[in-house]
Amino acid sequence: MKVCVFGAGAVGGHVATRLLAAQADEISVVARGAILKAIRERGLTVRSGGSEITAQPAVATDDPSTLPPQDLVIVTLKAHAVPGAAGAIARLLGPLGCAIFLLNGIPWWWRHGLPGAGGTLPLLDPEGALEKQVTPERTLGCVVHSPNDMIEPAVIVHTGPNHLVLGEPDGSVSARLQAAVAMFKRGGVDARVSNDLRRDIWQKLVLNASGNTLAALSRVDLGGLGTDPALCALSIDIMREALAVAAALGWDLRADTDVEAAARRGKPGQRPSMLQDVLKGRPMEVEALLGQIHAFALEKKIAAPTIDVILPLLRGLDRTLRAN
Amino acid sequence: MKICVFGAGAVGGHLAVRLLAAQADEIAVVARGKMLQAIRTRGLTLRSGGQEISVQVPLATDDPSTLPPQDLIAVALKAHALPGAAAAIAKLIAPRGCAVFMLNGIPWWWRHGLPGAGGTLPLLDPDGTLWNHVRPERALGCIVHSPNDAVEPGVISHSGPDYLVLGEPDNTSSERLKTAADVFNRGGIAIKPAVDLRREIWRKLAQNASGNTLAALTRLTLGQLGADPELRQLMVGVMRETLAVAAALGWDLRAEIDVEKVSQRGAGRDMGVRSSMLQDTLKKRPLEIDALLGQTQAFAREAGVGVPVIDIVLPLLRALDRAQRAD
Repeated sequence: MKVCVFGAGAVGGHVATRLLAAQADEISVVARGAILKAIRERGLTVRSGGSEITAQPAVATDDPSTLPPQDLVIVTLKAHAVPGAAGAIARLLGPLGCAIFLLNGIPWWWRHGLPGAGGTLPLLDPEGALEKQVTPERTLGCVVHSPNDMIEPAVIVHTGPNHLVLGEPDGSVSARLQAAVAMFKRGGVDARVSNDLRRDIWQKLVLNASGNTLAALSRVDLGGLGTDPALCALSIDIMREALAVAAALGWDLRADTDVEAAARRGKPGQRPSMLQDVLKGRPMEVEALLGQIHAFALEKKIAAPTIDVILPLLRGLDRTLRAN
Repeated sequence: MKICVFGAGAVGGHLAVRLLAAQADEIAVVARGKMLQAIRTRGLTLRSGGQEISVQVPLATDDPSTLPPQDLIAVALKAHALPGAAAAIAKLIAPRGCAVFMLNGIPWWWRHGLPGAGGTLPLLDPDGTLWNHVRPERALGCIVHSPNDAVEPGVISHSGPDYLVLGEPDNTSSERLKTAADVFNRGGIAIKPAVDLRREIWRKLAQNASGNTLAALTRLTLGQLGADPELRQLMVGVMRETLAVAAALGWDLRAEIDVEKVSQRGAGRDMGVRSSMLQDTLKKRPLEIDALLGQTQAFAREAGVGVPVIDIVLPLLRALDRAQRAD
């Protein structure tokens, strides 16, 4: 298969390294700037569990239009960078190809295949470029369970769990979904199929929506959040509000989620992605992790008083990060 | 008179320049580190309204125990630095002298002279050193209406209003209050007497607590906050909660402050103004959280007033402050 990893940050770099090292498929990498330069000079490196894998892609470019049509495009951009790449991703897809979006939080394709009115989510796909050009019909969803940190360009450190959950937006177990899972497996990436990916998304998001956002605003890591009673209480409030929104939309996880334990789960030094973004002065994934939950809450008339306060603060901080 | 300006940051530096320039009293300045070094080598400079005043400081020290007893001490430290200086301030006050506390937000002496149980405020005076050593009987309150920024050590830039509100904790018009006002007047500093000092503290606090705290968390200027409808609503929320707490304690300013208007004030004139707490955040200095927000929440709990927005903003600010101190 021709597979393109579109975006070589921490997650994209990790996935690309494993797929390249397995030498099972034809892998190309789209990257930019310092990361692209580092990949061309030294290849990609993943350090995980005491071992190190290094791989050199045959094709690494910042111009996706130079690549041949792809059977699978693995999109590993941050949620806020995805709309700007919609045209390039769309043009890259072969006649039967599809794009798999490795995203945090609520993805832009959410409404596709759900009962009721479809259409894109304006917070995540403001101009509708993803909906119109990539199209949800050519899209697979994916939840990443793999904490990665890029410590220098093209060098990724991984710790903890490491698997992907893949699903069709309509919940079907299609041939292309199975083909994608098979590709990851032969490439050395643990992957499984979900026939209700949105449930997996909510499960992860409930934790991220609280830990990421509070860490970003307070600059405290997950360990620090877990030991501060006042922040734990805020974290629990956000989780409960997110769970209530999920339940109103049809995914009731309240009985399976121990919010008290989840609020205290962090270990010292554990920096969620949004805190890493603030410390590095990069834009944050505010809308995918919190803004869309808030929008769903308004739609379903669910009260979310804590999110109502946290979200404007995060959006304000994000504006400062983007302006600098 | 012997006057000591204790703390030569933006506000203390401004005050010291004016008092020294007037050459009416004997002025000593307590400062530390780079600030003291700058004062000793270049004196103090105040830039305001297109003018520049520079003065030499004959008596500047980081060791207040070397100074003689003072008739008046103008304390211009941040609220969180006060408890650590309490003993030094107490020793410096002459037998009939007093200390004027130029503070943002709720001051440690709050309960003195009020009906009901006295005693210090533990958030602001954790070990009671201010209450027990300086003693509220020797304290005058002061609200500073004068935006100052220390642009470099010993150089202060001022813009906007410029006056002090002075008062006795028990609201009496005492002889020492008049004396203190005279000292400031001799230095060309405008004084507005307060009929009820705590009312004026709430008036300023209700308008400052929201902008300062939200600016520190988002790093936006007051103008940017005021121009953002969502953040403006949060500012209004913090103001309304602060005013509700003040009202529950007996100072009802709700009819006097147009919170919607105040929340938008930054959008014009103050577009680029960085509030003091934002300046502190950007310089990674400790934040004045408890005087501006923590004590309001403590009063809210006592009075049974709900403050849902403050309950969210405060833990975030405290954690941010802790993270910055740990850096």
